[in-house]
Amino acid sequence: MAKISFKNVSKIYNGETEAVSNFSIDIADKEFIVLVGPSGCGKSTVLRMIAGLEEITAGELYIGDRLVNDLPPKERDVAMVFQNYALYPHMTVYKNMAFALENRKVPKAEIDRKVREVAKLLDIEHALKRKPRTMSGGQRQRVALGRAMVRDPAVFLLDEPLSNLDAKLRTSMRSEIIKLHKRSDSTFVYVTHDQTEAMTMGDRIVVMRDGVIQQADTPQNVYRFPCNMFVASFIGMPSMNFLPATLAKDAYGYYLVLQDVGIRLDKAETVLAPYLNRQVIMGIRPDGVRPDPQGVIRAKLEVAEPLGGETHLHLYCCGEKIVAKVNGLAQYDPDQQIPLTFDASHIHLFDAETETVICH
Amino acid sequence: MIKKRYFSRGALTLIAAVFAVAFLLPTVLTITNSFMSQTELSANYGAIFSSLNDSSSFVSQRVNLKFIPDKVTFGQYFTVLLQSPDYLLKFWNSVILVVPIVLLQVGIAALAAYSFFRYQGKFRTFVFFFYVILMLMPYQVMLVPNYLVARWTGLLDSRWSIILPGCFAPFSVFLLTKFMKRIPVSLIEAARLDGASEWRIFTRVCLPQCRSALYSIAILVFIDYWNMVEQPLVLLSDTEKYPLSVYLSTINAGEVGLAFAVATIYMIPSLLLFLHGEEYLVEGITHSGSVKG
Repeated sequence: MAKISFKNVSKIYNGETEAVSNFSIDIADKEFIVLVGPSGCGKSTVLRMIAGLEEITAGELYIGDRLVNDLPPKERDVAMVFQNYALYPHMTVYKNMAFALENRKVPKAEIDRKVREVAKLLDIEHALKRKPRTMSGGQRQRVALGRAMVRDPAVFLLDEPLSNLDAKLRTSMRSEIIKLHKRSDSTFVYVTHDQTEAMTMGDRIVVMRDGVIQQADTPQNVYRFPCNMFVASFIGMPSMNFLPATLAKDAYGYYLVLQDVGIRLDKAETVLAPYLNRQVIMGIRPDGVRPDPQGVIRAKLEVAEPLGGETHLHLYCCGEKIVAKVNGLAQYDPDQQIPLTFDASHIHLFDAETETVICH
Repeated sequence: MIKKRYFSRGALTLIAAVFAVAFLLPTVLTITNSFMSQTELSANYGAIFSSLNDSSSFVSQRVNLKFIPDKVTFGQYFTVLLQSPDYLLKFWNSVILVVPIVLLQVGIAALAAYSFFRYQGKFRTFVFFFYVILMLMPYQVMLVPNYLVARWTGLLDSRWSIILPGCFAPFSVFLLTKFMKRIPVSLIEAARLDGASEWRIFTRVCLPQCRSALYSIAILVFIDYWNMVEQPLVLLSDTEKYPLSVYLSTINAGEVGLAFAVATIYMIPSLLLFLHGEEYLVEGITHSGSVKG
C-alpha cells in the first residue's frame, strides 16, 4: 500500500518564505498524479517533501499508514528521477543501476538479475558498460528511470524528467512512462510545468499556484470545469480567452453584453441572478471562437499561425487580444476584419473580483 | 586587423618562450652538469668555490656556464648511489617524512572539505573564514607555535613534530571544498534516496569525482614538503633525521659534482609525479576556482 496523504502540510524556508501552504490531498495507491503549475509554485517542494529531501515545517505526511515527517529518505521506500537525471558520472550504467541495491546489501546474483531485467525492459542492455557522459539525453533518461525501477519502490517521484529532451523524444518518453506506470505497482507523483504532459499522463492533475492547491481533479474535469481564471488560463493550449462583459437580462433570459454585442446564455438562472447588471469575466477556449460570415462580433486579425492540422488566429476583439483555433490551413490576410461567433456552450463565467468560476 | 592580432599573439608567444627557457635553464644545467667529471666542474665553477674561501678572488675570475659536458661520465651517480650511502639515507628520510604527510593531509582535507560542503550554518561560515585566514599566513609565522607545541608534547626532535602539523593544511581544505561545491546537489540527494550512508556518499559518490583535485593536492603537498628546509632545521636537532633537502646545502665545495647528481636524483620523484598527474593538476586547480575555468 503506497497511499500518500498530505494533511495541512506547509513548508517555510528560513522562517519567512512560504513555499507550500496548508497542502492537503490524498493520493491513492497506484495512482498517477501530476503536480503542475508555473515556476516557483511549490510543486517540486511537495515532491521533495515526499522524498524526505525537505523538512516539513507543519502538518503531517503519511506514506501508506506510516507518518514519515521525520523519516530519512532511505527509509521511505521512494525512488526519484531528477530533472538533470543525477546519474553518477564516474560509474557505468550497470553500477548506476546497481548502487541502490548494493546499499541495501542485496545479493550480487539478485542485483545482476534485476539490473539486466530492467535494462532489457528499457532497451539499454547494450549500454550497461558505458558511462553516462557517452550517452544521449534519451538514453540517460532511461538509465535514470532504470535506476529507480530496479528498486521496485512504493512511490515513484519524477521531477520534470522530460524537460531536457527534444520534442520528439519527449513524446516517446511520455508514453514509455505511462506504460511503466501501468506495469508497475507503484504510486507515481510527477512534477511538470508542461500541461501537455499533465493532461496526457495523469489520472489526476493538481494545479498549484503560490504553494496552494488551486484544483485537483481528472485532466478532463480540470480542462472543462476550471475552478478559477488561473486554472482556466494555465490548462489548455492556446490558453482560454478572457473578455470583460456585463450580465444583463431580458424577457428571453440572461445574456452577456460585450461592448455593443449581446451573447445569449444558456446557464442556470440561480447562479447568474446575483451577478445581474454586474461586470463579469467571460472565458472561452480558442476552439469556441469561430470565424462566421454571419457573426456579429467583429475582430481584427493580427497574426495567423498555420500549424498543419489547425491554424491559430491571433485576433483583437472587444478591446482584448484573443485566439481562435480553426481547422485546416485556411488563408487569412493580416489586418483582415473577421466576423466571429462565440459558442455559448463553451462559455465560462468568472467573478471579476475573486476570479473564481460562476458557471461553466 | 587580423595581421595585428597575429602579431600580438606572436609577440606574446615569444615573451612566454623566453620566460619558459629562463625558468628551465637551471634545471637543464643541473642535469647536464651532473654528467661532468669533477675536474671539468672545477674548471668551470672554480671561481665560485674559491670565492667561498676568499671573496676577493671571486670578482676577478669568470664562471663558465657550460651545458654540454666534454666527456659524459656517470662517476657522480656511482659515488652517490654506491659509494656514499649518506645520500640515500637522507633520501629515505625525505620519503618517510613526506609520504605520511601527503597521505594524511589528503585524507584529512577530504573529510574536512566534505563537512564544509555538506553542512551549512553560521558556525560553518566562521570556521571556513578562519581556514582562509590561516591559509594566508606564511608557514614561518607558524613555526614558533609549532616548536612550542612540539616541545610541550615531547615530540621535539621526532619526525612526528613535522608530520603532525603537516597533516592539517588549510589550503588543501579550501581547494577541495571549492572543488566539491561543483558536485551537483542532486547527485548527493540521489545517493541518499538510493539508501547510501553518509560514509558511502563520501567514498563512493563524492571522492571519485574529486579525483583530479585530490591528485593536484597530493602533487602540491609533495613538492612543498619534499623541498622543506625550515621545519627540519627548527624541529629536528638530530642531523641523522634530516631530509635530503636540508642535507644538500651541507655538501662542501669540493663535492659540487655530487651536488648536481644528488639534486638531479632529488628532482626525479617530483618530476615523475608531476608528469603523471599533469592533467589532473591543471583540472584540479582550474575547477577549484583558483583559476576561472
